[in-house]
Amino acid sequence: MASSIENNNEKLTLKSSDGEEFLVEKHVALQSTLLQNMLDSDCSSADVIPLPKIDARTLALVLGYCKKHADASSSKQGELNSFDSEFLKDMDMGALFNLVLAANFMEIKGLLDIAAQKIADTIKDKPHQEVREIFHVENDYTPEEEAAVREENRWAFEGFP
Amino acid sequence: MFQSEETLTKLLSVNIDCLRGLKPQLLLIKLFLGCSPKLETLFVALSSQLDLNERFKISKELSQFPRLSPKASTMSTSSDFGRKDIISDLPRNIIESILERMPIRDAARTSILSSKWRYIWTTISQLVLDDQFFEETFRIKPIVQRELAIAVENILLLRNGPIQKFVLCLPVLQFSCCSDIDDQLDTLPVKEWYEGSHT
Repeated sequence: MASSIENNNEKLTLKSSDGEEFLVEKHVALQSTLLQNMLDSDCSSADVIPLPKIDARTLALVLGYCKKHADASSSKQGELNSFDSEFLKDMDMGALFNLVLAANFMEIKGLLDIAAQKIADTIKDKPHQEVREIFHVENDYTPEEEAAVREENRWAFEGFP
Repeated sequence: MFQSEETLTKLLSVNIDCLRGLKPQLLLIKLFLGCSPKLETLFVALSSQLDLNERFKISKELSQFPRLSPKASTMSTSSDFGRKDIISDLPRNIIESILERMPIRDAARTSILSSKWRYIWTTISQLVLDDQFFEETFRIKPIVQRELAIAVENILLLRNGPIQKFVLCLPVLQFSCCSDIDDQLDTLPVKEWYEGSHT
């Protein structure tokens, strides 16, 4: 098994939370630090690796990202950048949150970075009332507490309602 | 259908609730996307009566509408999440990673979302107080040195947790304003100093 990582033709099977199986080339799976560690230790490629926290739709997206990044050579950074921004454009918010959770669980740093950036871009420059509405955050402050928080960070709220 | 020459020049963001995908609803969205040169985001909450296929079809249709604004993107939420708070329950490391990817002023403003968010921003490990920070924070009114010092002091005072990256550029501050900041800096558990040019 020690030399298995060098062999690009080897495949392994991942199983989503809803029972769908995905046959994945090993060099694609290695984009995930979690899978890399599993392969480095005792996991045989004949085993099916269950991913109980990730549904099939999300896993398909994750593997699409991994495949693109595994197959592109380092000279194509520009192409990868435009792939990344297209990848998340117009994505359903639910899908984006599933994706960020999957990237975190599977330890795929590049994917975690771009998904977190997308969520950050959604929050920044918006009044907090709007952010609450978009993400359904329930305001549990009393009016007095809210005023106290605002006072605590007065510099940050300058110019915001 | 909309052969209008009119543009919605000031429209930046649109929120639409309970979309069922009816033709007039989609046409209205098409109008927003096609006639708003500054539009950044269009949020759509899909009706919970739609099934997965219908939702997928609508999302796809929305993504194909032409946009006048190069920055415009659409984002839909579906009934999977309903009215559930989808962000506060993310693992802490993801929330921190999100907050680190926006200006610290926006991160600090998340303190007012709910009590859970009050101090999360004070634990982010990347603290960048550079020229851009001062420019953005005080773009509304001319820079007042004392207030600037108070803002920096406030950030450092509330800080909680280790710092991976710390950038501080205070070229416009006079030394007299900085003695309090110096006191705070001495107590910071900074792993790596990038810059400290406030003399």
